[in-house]
Amino acid sequence: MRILKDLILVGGLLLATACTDKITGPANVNLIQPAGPNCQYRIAPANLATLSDLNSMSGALGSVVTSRENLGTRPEILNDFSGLTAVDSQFSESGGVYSALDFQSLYAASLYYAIELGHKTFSSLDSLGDMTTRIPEMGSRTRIIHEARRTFGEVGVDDEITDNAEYLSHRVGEGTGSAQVLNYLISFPTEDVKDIPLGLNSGIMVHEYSHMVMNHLFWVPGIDQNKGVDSSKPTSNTLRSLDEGLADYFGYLATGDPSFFLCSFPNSNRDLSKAKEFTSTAVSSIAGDTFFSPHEGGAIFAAINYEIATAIGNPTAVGKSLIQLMATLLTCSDTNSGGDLSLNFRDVAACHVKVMDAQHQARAREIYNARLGSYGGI
Amino acid sequence: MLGWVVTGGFEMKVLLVSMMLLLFSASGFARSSSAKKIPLLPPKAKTYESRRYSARQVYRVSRKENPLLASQSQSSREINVKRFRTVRRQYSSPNLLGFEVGGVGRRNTTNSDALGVRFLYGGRVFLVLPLLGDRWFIKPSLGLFTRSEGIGTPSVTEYQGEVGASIEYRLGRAGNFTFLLGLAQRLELNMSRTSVGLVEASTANTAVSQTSPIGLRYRLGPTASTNIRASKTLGFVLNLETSFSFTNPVRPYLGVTGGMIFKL
Repeated sequence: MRILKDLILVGGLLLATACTDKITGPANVNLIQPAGPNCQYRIAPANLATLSDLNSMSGALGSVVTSRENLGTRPEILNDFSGLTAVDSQFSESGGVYSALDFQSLYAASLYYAIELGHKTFSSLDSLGDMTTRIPEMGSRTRIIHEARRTFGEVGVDDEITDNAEYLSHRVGEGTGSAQVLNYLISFPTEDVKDIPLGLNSGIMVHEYSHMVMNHLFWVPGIDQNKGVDSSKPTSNTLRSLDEGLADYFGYLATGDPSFFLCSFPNSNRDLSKAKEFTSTAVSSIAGDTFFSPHEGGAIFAAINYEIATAIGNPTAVGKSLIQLMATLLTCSDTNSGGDLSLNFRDVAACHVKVMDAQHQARAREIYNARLGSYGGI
Repeated sequence: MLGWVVTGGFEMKVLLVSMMLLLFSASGFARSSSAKKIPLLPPKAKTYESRRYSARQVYRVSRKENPLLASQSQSSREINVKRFRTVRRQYSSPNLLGFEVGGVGRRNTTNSDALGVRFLYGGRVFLVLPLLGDRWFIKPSLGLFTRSEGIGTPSVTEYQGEVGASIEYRLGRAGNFTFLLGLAQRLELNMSRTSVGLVEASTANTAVSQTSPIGLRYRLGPTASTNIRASKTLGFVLNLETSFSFTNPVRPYLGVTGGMIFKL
């Protein structure tokens, strides 16, 4: 018994000097990853190259945090991150690969992974899409909120948001000479989703990342140049639909799964591989005459671009051209009539074809003409 | 490590004090052992191992009947024995076997159940072995705690095996209640299993899963327990344990368990 006691004591003291929980990045982490079309998944190591601290899940692209308070009740949280808490993640390690010890750690790592996947996807296509060069100190200005609490509408009356994700651009310091944009990539709690929760669906989180790219390449310059990007219904609805469609396409490009959205919402109409076109109903909706959902117009634009990518056999070339489209939409002659921006999807398609590689333009124009419906051809 | 200690917070200080107490206890055992080997002073004759000592010694009944299950009058009564052989005949095991179930958790700011702690649920089997006199005990134990969480089809099941030995001091008793304070130390073996079940929209008709490697952690901290004597051979035990992992950052633990002890 004494020997046992001594062994326990000595062993314990030795371990005291050997054990450490602090894990600095980059790190290889076992994560749930898309493994092909139609919601196939694998659990495999993913290299989180921009990560600096695996426990608090922070790095050059931002920090994964939680918010116990309702962001609708205390919107000032968004000004200085004051009510946000770093996640507390735990992992075991073998052969240089870390595995989450609990579900929340897996979730937090998956969120960071999705944002890094978005970053890799965009920056590998075009330097314009590299947000680390466009957003100064991106890591300190970006928060990825896990299980965020927020109410649209009246707090205490309307329900808190669930089963959703969001990119939120938040300008602070207006008029102080040090105005800046803080970026929030938000994953809301899951309530009704029965399959892959949105925060673990990397296609959906890349979709949100794409909104951040669109914000910095188009919306912020547009607002700064007083282009009236949100002043008239057809134009603003077109731009919002375009934003959603671009995000859907980049979600596909990052995951290789055109039906990534269905992995969370199996009955939705967001499968890019299902051909779609701008019907008169859709055009009327975007024009502001009837109920408008930016996701529906966006799903059509994304499906058209998936069709182009499949036809030319080069999804990355289409992705590259879409980044160019984001960056040139403000100055594209078809959309710029001198003052406020005024456009519809026909104009957008014309601008897009212009920035495509010359060898792909004819095929792209052909497909657009077939799918623009009542917008007319380009 | 020195820098880690100096810059550590409250948890570090508690951990440090716990370590000092543990080492102090260990040095106490060492002193008692060496006294037997070099009998410069008359032996105090309180242990079974003192066979070489004078036959006229005082033995406590409590060494035969573990005081945690002995009645109050029995444990305080002393008897004289003339020969060690006599003692051996009277000897019955003072050791106790027990099991307890409950929750053990780490502080987790992301996901907690109560007091900022996220609990895993399971149990331990343990022995209660007298160490010195009738007041010190060692409780070697084996435990397994687990928790499964998931949203939708993905889930993670966490397993926490532990090997431990706590050293406890009997503070006193009141009726059938015995109160103990001590230091618990546990070596944890952590692992998890991540899986993704069938996704409705998927064409892949198989679930995938993966088991993590085993991680090791050592933790140490104060423990308090109450034993409730039900009979000469059976009792109940309630245990509250706080401990701190030897990791950076130091991670506080809380354990609340209850169970039964049996005389072997």
